[in-house]
Amino acid sequence: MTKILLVEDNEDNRDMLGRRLSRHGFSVCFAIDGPSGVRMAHNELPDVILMDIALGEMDGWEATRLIKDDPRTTGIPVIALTAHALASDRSRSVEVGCADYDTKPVDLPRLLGKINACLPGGARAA
Amino acid sequence: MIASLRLAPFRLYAVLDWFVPEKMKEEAESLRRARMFLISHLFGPFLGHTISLYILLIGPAPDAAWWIFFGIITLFWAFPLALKITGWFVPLALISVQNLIFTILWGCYHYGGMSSPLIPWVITVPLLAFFYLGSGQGVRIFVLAIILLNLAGFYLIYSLGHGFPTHIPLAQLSGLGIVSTVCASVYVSMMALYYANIAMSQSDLEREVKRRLETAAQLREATNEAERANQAKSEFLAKLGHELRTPLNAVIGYSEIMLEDAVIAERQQQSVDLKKIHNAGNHLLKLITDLLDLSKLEAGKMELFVETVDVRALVAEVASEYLDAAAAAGNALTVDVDPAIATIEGDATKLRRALVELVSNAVRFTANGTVTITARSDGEWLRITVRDTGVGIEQQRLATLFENFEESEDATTSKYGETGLGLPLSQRLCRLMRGDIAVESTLGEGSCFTIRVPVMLRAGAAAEVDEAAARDERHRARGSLVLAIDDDPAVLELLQRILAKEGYAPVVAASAFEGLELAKKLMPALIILDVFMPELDGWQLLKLLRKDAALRDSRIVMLTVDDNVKKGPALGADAHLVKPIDRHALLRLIRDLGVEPSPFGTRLLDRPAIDLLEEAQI
Repeated sequence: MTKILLVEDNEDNRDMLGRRLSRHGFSVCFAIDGPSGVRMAHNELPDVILMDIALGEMDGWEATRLIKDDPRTTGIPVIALTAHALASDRSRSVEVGCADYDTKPVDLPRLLGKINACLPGGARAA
Repeated sequence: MIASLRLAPFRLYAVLDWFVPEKMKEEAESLRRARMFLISHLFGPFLGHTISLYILLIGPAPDAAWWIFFGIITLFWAFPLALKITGWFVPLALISVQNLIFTILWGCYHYGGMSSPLIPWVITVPLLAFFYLGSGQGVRIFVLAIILLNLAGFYLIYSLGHGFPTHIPLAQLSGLGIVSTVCASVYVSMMALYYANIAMSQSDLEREVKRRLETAAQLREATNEAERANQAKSEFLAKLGHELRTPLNAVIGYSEIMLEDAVIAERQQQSVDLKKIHNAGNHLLKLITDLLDLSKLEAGKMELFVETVDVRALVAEVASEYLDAAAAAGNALTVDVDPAIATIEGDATKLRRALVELVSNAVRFTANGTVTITARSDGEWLRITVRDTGVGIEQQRLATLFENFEESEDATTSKYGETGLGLPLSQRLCRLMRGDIAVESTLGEGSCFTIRVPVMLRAGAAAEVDEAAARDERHRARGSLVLAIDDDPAVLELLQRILAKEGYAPVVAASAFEGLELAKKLMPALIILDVFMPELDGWQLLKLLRKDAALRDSRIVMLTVDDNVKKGPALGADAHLVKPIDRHALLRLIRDLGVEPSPFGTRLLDRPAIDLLEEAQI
């Protein structure tokens, strides 16, 4: 089963997106801020990480950079989620090594498409 | 001021100015001197010949002295033409002054000697010299010198024993005394009156310019204040937007989850209700997003993200989103992308957004018809056309279709965009990408919207965009200042009302010279220039404005009464507008020239701007 790590500080969003992803056949684990996101990535080694950007103290860019710097987690695709569709956000996401980028509120079919595009053929969810 | 200028003999100017060399028209002072010169040379000889003919009447048959007298008076009529041909004003004025003193002394010498009735004419010599050449020390010395030299010359002839010739006995000359004095008085009065008229209107003009400058400074301050307020508004909107999105997230997300649950459990009624909540949430989200983006665009904070865009995929993706909605309304949605188009360099997100807006509108306003998305490229531009066979749009509404909903006069326009913001936003996004959106429509037959964007936004565009941004920045720095120059107060008032209402800061000038001075001092973003003006016509003024490097970035619109506008672009005009002024055409033209009203400025600027300008009106 494909494992997704969702790093999101808003409880509603975490709950919603987690439930919907589970329903689509993913196994979802959660982190509520940047540092715990980096820790969870090490411990759980998920197939995909969904990274909220506005996370408080350590933001999503910084967390992604730490994940990409670590040889154990560097290969895990990260999809950044931001509230704005700013060009600066998009170029930033490329810069820190995100595989893709999406805006909130999440359009689930579109996000699923992006998740599947990141996965190697065998790991795809049903 | 307008009234006093009206007194000036405008029709006469048309004749006079034909003789004035182009170079002298550039400066108000030199033009005035040239006109003085021309008036005295065109009308003076008539008064002079009154005397020469009177002498012919009372005297014997014309002899050499009379013919010379007659000839040198007539010679004055040649001066305007000489000025026209050579353009040498100062030498001609000097020769003219010399000719005048010689003529007068010649007349005195031959007709009456020391007690000649022509002596009063001597006072016209310094007077005219000062009119032509000003009253500088050099001029004073010169005039005195030539009067003395001429007097000395005649005295020499007299003292060498020639005495005064007596062509006519002194007793007979008493009649000539009256004629001569009256003519000299008329001449001096004519010149003095003309000079007084000019001096008066000049000081009026100066006062008026000063007053307008103060008004403009206040306007500028008000504009700056409005811009600061606008900045605060943008920040507030960005924060508010974030605060609104968070709860909206929950509404949209949870309603979607429940909807999915309800569909699985086949709870029909609940599905319908939840769908409504979900749709309303999405609608609200789009409204907020559009509002924020429009405010970002107005604040100049919208950025371009240029990447390689797969046009075929983008169009297919948008079309697939609306297949269901189209089918539900009985519409056939077809896509026709030219196979030759592979990818373009552009901003995918913004292009997609504009296309979504057009497709969603087309699907919404078409029932049992067709919606066709066509993509074509000519190597330079990509054109994506969305054509529908829907209800169509009324002709008069087409003009305001892309205006913000706050600006359009009828609320029904909002029917054509989900929020009334969608189309204006899409158009501005396309313009940001150096493209545009055009529309054609026939009521009852359907509409056709075309997006046009450059195929290579990146190639050389970075510099170009920077250049454009810098230019926009310069325009912004000048605010939304618009200078209108027209001799017709009714036109000025109309322009002022339209522009102020729209959020521009209008300043008006009722004459060409006043306009020129104001333009140099204010450096307005836009100058509206009437072609037919007395003193200096619009074309001449246009040339002068374009010579000034500081006004290089000012856009200039010519106001004409006919379509004879070929001159405009050659002389540096950016556009022209045909009188009578059509409000929509004017505003569209101004916006097309890249001059934007002070954002949200109308409300803040309205009061002070209009009050100040009303005060400045005479």
